[in-house]
Amino acid sequence: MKMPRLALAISLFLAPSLAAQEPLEIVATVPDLANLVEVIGGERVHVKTMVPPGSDPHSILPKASLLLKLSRADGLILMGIDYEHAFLPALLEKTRNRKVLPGGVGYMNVGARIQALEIPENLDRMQGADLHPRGNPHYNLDPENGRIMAQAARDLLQGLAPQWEEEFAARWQAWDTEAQRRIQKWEQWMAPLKGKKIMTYHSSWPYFAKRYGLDVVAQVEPKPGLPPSAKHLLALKKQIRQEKISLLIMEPWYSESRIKSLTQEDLTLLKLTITSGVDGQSYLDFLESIVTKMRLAHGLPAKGDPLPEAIAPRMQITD
Amino acid sequence: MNQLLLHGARVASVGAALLFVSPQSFAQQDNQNSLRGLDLDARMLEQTFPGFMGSGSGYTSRFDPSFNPAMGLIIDSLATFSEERGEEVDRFSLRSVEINLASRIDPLGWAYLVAAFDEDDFELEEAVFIMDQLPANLSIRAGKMLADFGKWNTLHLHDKNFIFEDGVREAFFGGNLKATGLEIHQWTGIGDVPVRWSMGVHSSFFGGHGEGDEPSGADAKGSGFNSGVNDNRGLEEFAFTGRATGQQDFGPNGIFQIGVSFFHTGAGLIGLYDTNADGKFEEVGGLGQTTVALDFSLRLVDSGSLTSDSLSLEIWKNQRDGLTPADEIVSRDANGIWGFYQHDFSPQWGAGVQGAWWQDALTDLGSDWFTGAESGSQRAVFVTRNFSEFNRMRLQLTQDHRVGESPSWSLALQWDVILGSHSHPLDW
Repeated sequence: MKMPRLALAISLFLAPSLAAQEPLEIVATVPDLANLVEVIGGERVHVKTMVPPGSDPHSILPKASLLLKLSRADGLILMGIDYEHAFLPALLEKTRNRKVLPGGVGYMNVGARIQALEIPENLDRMQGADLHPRGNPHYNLDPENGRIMAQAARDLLQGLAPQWEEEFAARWQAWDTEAQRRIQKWEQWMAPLKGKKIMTYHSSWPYFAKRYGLDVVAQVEPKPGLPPSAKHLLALKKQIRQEKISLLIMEPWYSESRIKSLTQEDLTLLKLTITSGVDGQSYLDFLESIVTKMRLAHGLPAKGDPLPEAIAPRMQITD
Repeated sequence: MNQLLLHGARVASVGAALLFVSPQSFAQQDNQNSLRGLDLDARMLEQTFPGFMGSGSGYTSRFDPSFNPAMGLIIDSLATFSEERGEEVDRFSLRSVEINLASRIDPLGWAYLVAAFDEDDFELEEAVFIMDQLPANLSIRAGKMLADFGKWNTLHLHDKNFIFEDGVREAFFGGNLKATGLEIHQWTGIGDVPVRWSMGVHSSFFGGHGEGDEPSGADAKGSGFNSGVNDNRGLEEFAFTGRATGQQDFGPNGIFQIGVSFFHTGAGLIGLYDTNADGKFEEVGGLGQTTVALDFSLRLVDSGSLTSDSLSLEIWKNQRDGLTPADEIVSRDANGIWGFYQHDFSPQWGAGVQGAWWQDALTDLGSDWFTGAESGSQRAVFVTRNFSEFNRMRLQLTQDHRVGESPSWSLALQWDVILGSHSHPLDW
């Protein structure tokens, strides 16, 4: 009779500590943040991502399974700056999990730590249907902002599980050291491209362009969220010739047929996703692949570490 | 310590500025530098007191405190050309102007109101208070609302994928089922499958679209769907609704949903009948109706190409009391099935088909599927052009075959615009 009581006492004693060893359940809105949480959290975290790799975040359905994930999570890390406008507000409106609501211990809005670019001075819808009142949300394409994202991931995990604070700090330090090494390398790789005039389909690249001194002189979308008219395409054709624009960056989900008249010009079309995660690609590898593709698109040889085979065939540079 | 005091004073001054200066007056300032400086201070305030401001929470919502309540306006206009003759066809019409207001009331709940006008009438479509902070994901909705019945009843007509209401809903409910009462909702997860259920009790109900077309007078002719009480209200005069549904992920960005719903009133329904055979219609109360529906929906969005597919099917079974020519109340069965499929080629262009078939709820010829009772049908093909998220045009060719009438074709062009606040609600 004594043994079961002893076992019960031991199990009651151990129960809280065993529970404390349970991995943290973290929901990351985009693959970039998910990768950073995984790297810094190690085996201490389970991460679920809301936006599948290679997807347009504007098209994500606010579906009930995401609500379920959110309701069971210890933490939520998001881009903010209205990046998740299509699906996150509806989910936060429904969830009762106070940990992942604004102000909760598990709520991390990385955008609040970012100095946003392109904050509209006028919110008139005349300026476009896809306006972001708090600025351009594509800050993850600047590697230095990536370091801020990693710090935010570390802070979130440390706030949720102070007992593993040092572990998270050590992993973050290792990641940050590697990030700094690569950022330095990328600065050198991108140096020859400084001042190059480029065109983008959607305004996803201002942070990247600012970091590396690229000059985004035109956009295919006449206003954010609006497809180009024939008149606008004609004006762009003229601009390509006049300003000798040699590169157009386009997300893969936009229709290439719509811009056929532009690609007939002496222009390289570079199709790039705006988040990592395709084929399990890490955030740093994703940024490196962009830098490499930028060089290739400008006729420069790829430098440094060879691209993994998984990346090379996906190069979508067309002449 | 001094740093802390300085920080506190700065935060307090920004807080005071935000309390006393409206966002509009910010926008009117010419000095953009000070605006940006203020924005930075606001960010600092948000970081110091997370959740204090909507602006720093990283998203906008229907509860954005820039305006309280948040306001939206939807203009639904229509041009119709039909084989049918009469005043209501071959015309341009303002089908509805819908005003939406929404605001959180206090930490316990929020409320919204939807009022619709057409060129002649006004109708309060919905006015609902939602207590959404109850334990175990329970919530209570009270007021006048679109009842939780089937996948599509809680959507206003202009939000649906097609121009005209499905014929089954029209035949059995007279349009969207609107009810005044109370609903209790709960959602949970069974494993990784999200499920939800609701139960409602309502003291009044009717069907319609908010364009002043509630059945009334001789137009109702027994087929109207309206509530009424003869004498004192008993349990039988209330209407009860319920729904249970589950949703499963389908691919990386898709859903498959199945649901079952019911509506029941023991004796709360009134109809208009020519009881004295003198050509004058009189209200007859104490009628009952039970309607059960099974719904299936599939939605697939390819986020890599921005194409999508939507498919929905609902099967209804209806039992309704009515008067015989001998003024006896009899219960009549009728079945109905309707559905639609839409493919979006891009965020700008989509096309689809809609179909419905139903048995007449008022004839007494039996409820065998596809045999017995007189039946009606509806088929339509439509093309949708989204100029932006807030501006949409739709062209639809419809063949309507109402019970007891000849089939007729109509061509309709719908133009909907959205002003002000909008939201992307949870899709279930």
